[in-house]
Amino acid sequence: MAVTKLSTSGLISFARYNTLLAGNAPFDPSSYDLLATEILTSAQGSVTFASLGDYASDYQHLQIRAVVRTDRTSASSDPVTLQFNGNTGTNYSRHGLVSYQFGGSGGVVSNAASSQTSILLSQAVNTNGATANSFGAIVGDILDPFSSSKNTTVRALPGMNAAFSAVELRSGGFFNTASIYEIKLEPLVGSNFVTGSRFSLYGLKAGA
Amino acid sequence: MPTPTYIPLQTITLGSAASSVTFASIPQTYRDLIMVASALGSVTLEARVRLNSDSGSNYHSVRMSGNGSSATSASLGSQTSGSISTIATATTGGALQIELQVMDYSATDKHKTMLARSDQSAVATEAVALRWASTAAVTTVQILTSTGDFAIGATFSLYAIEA
Repeated sequence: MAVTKLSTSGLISFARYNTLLAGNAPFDPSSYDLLATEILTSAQGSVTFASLGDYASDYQHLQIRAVVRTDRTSASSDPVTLQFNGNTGTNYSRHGLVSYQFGGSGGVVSNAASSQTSILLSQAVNTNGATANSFGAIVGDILDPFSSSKNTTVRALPGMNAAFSAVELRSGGFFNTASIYEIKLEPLVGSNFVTGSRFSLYGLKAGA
Repeated sequence: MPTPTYIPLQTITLGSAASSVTFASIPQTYRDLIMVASALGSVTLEARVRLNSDSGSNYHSVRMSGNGSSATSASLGSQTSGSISTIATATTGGALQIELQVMDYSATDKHKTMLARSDQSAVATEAVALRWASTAAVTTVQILTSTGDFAIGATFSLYAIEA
């Protein structure tokens, strides 16, 4: 929000205004805020957003926006996993609708798995086995994460393009009603996210 | 400290039919762009995207579509623009709705990955992942048709996201 300097607000110059804003722009509260971001300056095995309880009173939903590449070299794609609250039990489910193309063939497939140790936020992001400088992208929503009476649901739109290409609609469940205070992202096969990978967390405010 | 974002940059509303619209001089102070379109067409059309006026064969895409009778997958490589929706839009009825995400558009060390979702209530739903094989920062986004025009009244809005 732009703020008019005191010296030009009229308080000193005794200018007269018809509104109480006195030269200031109207306050326009945002409903979508950047909470945290990590842009990797070196390879990193995982990315964790912690202390999310600090946001519980202000935000209803969270969104992750990520541009990702892993150091896997044996294939051009790698899944990205998500765990909540450091929970490594078999408390997660995964569902995906995936369109893939490789070497001139492909199709649309549906997959699902229950009693997993993580959610798949994406089944395919680019790797060091893919075209240079190419990254996968993920936009994922975590719905009502601070509720303490609901299991937590995630939905995501991931995609990548290289020799192997894929676009997905994904969802995942965390079968635990605890309020979310930590999100951890990891490559499933590769050891690291590579330099330049970026992970941003946003909050959507609740209505009054 | 939370930072308010999802910044509206520009909205274009067509006063006459046009085969393309262009968002130019995009500020480089944000990380992602989101383009939202609602459009009818003068004929059936395919919506495409072109970045920085680059008409080289640098656009790659993969899609999935569902129309109630079948689910299809397809890819397009080395195109001169990126296909963001193959859902045919017509002159009347439900408008084609598109949301296009241009990720890390201001980065100069990455090809630009884009994600698109499009729908027309009477026709189909679609998701597309695209790559523009260039590390240049994006300064212009052009939305264009494969044939025909976007009809009068079509709206195109561009938003920016900080990171």
